[in-house]
Amino acid sequence: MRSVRRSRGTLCALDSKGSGGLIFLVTITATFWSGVAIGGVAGTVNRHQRRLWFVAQIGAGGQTLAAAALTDRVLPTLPLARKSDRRLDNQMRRSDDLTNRYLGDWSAAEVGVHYTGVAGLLNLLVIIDAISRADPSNGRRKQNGQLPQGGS
Amino acid sequence: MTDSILASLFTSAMNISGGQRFLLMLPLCLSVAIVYKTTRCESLREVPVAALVLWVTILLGMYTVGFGLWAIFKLLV
Repeated sequence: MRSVRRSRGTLCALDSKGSGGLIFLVTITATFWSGVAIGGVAGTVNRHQRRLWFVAQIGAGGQTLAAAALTDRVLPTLPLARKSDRRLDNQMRRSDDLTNRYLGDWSAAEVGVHYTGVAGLLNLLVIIDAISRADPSNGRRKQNGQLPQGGS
Repeated sequence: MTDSILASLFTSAMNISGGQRFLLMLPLCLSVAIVYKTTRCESLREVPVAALVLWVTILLGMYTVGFGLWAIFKLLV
């Protein structure tokens, strides 16, 4: 009887953890690819023109690498950007690089970059949280009341 | 056919107006609230209410800061 209760408790804990992981997976993936869909992959995940944002985006791991590979594939097919185009952002307009490509509407690209960057940082948050939960000394400190309880 | 539709979904950017940019902040803040509260709450049953409260708090804070900065800008210009 006790073993049945224990196994049921383990199952509940596993189910709870699995659902939490599923929430992370769905939320972060949806945020990342929504950003790519809004801003276009070349204007959003672009390691040449948006280096600092790419550092944040790489937190999403394989998704960012897939999007970067898609950017490298798409970029040569895009038309050259004209500096008079009002849809370009200031950074692109200042650039003298003639190989600058038209990456789409700048406001859409900004929104897309924010979505993908936040998705990468959220993934980092989840990784750091998982590491802290896996730390055995964390549970002992919680039992001794040295750590605040969750939910705040 | 399906591949090309799917590819164009991710390769072409949308055209977004100023008002739509404000609206697009809602799902972004919601995802932040959901992920953060899922990491913090002990039980998953607490997550929806806690995430909703955090979402509203973030939105109110962001819109207040945005309106404040816009008001200062209008006063100075």
